Amino acid sequence: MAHAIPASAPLVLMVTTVNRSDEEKAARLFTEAGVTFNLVTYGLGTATRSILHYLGLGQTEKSVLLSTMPLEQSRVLLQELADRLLLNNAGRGMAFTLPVASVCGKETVNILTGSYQVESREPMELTFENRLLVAIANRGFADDVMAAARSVVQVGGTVLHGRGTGHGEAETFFGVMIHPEKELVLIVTPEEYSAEIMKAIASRAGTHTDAHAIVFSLPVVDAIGLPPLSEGQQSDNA
Amino acid sequence: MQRNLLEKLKESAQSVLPVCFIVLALHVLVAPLPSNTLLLFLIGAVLLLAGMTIFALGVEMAIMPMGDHIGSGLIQSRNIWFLVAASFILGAAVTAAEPDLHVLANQIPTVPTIVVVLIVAIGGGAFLVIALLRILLQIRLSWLLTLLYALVFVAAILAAPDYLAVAFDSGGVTTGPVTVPLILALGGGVAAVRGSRSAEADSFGLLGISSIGPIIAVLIMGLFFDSSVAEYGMEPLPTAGTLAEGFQLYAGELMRSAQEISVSLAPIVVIFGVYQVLRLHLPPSQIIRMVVGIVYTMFGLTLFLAGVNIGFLPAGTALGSTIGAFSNNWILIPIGFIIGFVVVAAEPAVLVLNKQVEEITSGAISRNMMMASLSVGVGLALVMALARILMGTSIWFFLLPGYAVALALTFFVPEMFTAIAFDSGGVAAGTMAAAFLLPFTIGVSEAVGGNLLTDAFGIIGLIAMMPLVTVQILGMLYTIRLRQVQLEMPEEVETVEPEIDIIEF
Repeated sequence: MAHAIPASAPLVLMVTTVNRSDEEKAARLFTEAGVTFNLVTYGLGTATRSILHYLGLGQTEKSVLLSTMPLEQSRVLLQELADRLLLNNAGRGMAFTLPVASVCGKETVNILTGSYQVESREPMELTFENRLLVAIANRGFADDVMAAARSVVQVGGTVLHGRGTGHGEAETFFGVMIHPEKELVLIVTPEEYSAEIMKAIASRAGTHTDAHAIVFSLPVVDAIGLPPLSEGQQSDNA
Repeated sequence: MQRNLLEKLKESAQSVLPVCFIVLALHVLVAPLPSNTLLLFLIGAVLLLAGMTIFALGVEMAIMPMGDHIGSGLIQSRNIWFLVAASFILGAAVTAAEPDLHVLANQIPTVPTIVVVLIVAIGGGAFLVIALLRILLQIRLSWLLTLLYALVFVAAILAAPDYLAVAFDSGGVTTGPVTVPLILALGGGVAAVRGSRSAEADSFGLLGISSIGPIIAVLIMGLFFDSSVAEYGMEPLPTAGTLAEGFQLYAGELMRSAQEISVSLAPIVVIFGVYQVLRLHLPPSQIIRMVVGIVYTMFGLTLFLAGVNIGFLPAGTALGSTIGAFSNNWILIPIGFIIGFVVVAAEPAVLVLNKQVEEITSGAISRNMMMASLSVGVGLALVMALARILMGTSIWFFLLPGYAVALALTFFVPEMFTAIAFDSGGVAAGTMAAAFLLPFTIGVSEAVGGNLLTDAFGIIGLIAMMPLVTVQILGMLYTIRLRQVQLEMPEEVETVEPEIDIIEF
């Protein structure tokens, strides 16, 4: 091994959502910091008020970056993202980290760690103050999910597209598999609101509605770019 | 203010301003425009910018989602007869509603207009069906395109030479600024519900195949009807002495454009409405959004068309005739390249296509890459068209080798690039080509005393052809570069099984 990684240096998966025009800036920030595992995909930021949604002025095109790094480095990078890309300003994007539980193979650990040298060997206390809510709804209903969530507290969301598999055997047509299209809505919110938001999504856009949304949550290590808290109202920020 | 609106405005400015800048530079440096032409041009430029911005927003809100829903619905019905019938009706209806088709029909006076419209619409519908069936049956695009273009050229040999130009021009009829986003999204919708590896590539190619339909239809029609073509009649150019007259001209043109656009939007709205009521049942929130989007599309396109027809058309003609009259008119060749290079960016349908390509490939093929290859393609097309006018070469010397190269390339580049290339041909030969580049070459042709009919139409055919070559060359460079990058990567793939211990954190 080129450089041994202590098994105790915890890894995180960082998810960064930025405007497309900022994508290169963000990617450069990661590669300059020695992060070697970076994936980019496209998503959409959601409208924050229904009137803007109707007028087509709410949605913004976003790039979603997935990167892995040691927890220690992630805190430095989050700060840099906030400074350089102004993620704490409304509408610029957000970033959060999820804990990595385990990795298969030492070589893979090296790839996921990148060239960053971990300094502190002290185990870090993780508090998980925020939650990542993942809602999966039928295509076209991401805005209903967001409206339900916003009825509880102000949140921002990122929408990714996907195909649903499962449902037993996939249906085929001329030998071509057919998968229903789905939308994946990512919302990061403080832990104390997560249960209420999930209930709101389930009751207003749940499996008994056309949106057919299911929702679950994951623990978030750190997050930046979350909207300021103001309960139960909708404001102009994305 | 609104980030989204600002982004759209920025995009439109990037596509519209270069051509405005070049025209103004030519005005100052090479060929001064008459002051009234300049006035109309400046107003037109403002309308173009506003129109493009609103159009882009509307297409994203209404036309694309509609096409997307229809496309995935066709496949999800799992009923082959429904798919064939519905796509035929859709293809025929949007073709019949294209305003350009009626202009085309008037150029063939010996055949009643209604017959021309019907035959071309049937061609458009039938080839959309063929394009969809190709995806289902997984027929290789290269073979189908080679076969279809072989058919086109056989029919073309039998047709009268004058008629030929009209036939090739009709391919552009199915690629208006409303049809392009609809058909592109239709392909995207079909691909989105499919779980196969080629789904990405399959979301393109529908436009390319369905624009062959009208060409073949018109050529076949020529075999059965008396195929004499009307003289190319130039409409009197709009001129305005005062600002008030200029506004009056624009007011009239705005009304006319609004009417044209409503006609071409009507079949899409009706078909989607029926589909929504019978099958789709989207919630009201989404329908409201689409209605607003349709209004935006209509409003934006109306502004755009008025700006092009009143502002850009006379400027194009004036530039062409002034520069063409120079004694050393070889200078047209480099100027032509620059004009072609910047004009294609201002095509509304090009904006939509490039965005769709970037979206579907998750940025792997960026819109800048697409724009670069389209710009080079149209620039070269203009060089060929102008060289042809100056030297009087037959268009066959360009079309035959051009298509031969384009078709040969289909066997060497990834299918994705072939599909995008053949889609972009018709897209590049759109509104701006017809209302700015065509008048420019007509101006040149008049100044040097060429044959208006054959010279004028040559340009559209060449603009539709060159992107097939340049986009596929882009594909070739892309594959080569990708291979290099993979070779440069450290050789980590060894046959030794890697350690597979699990590291817990």
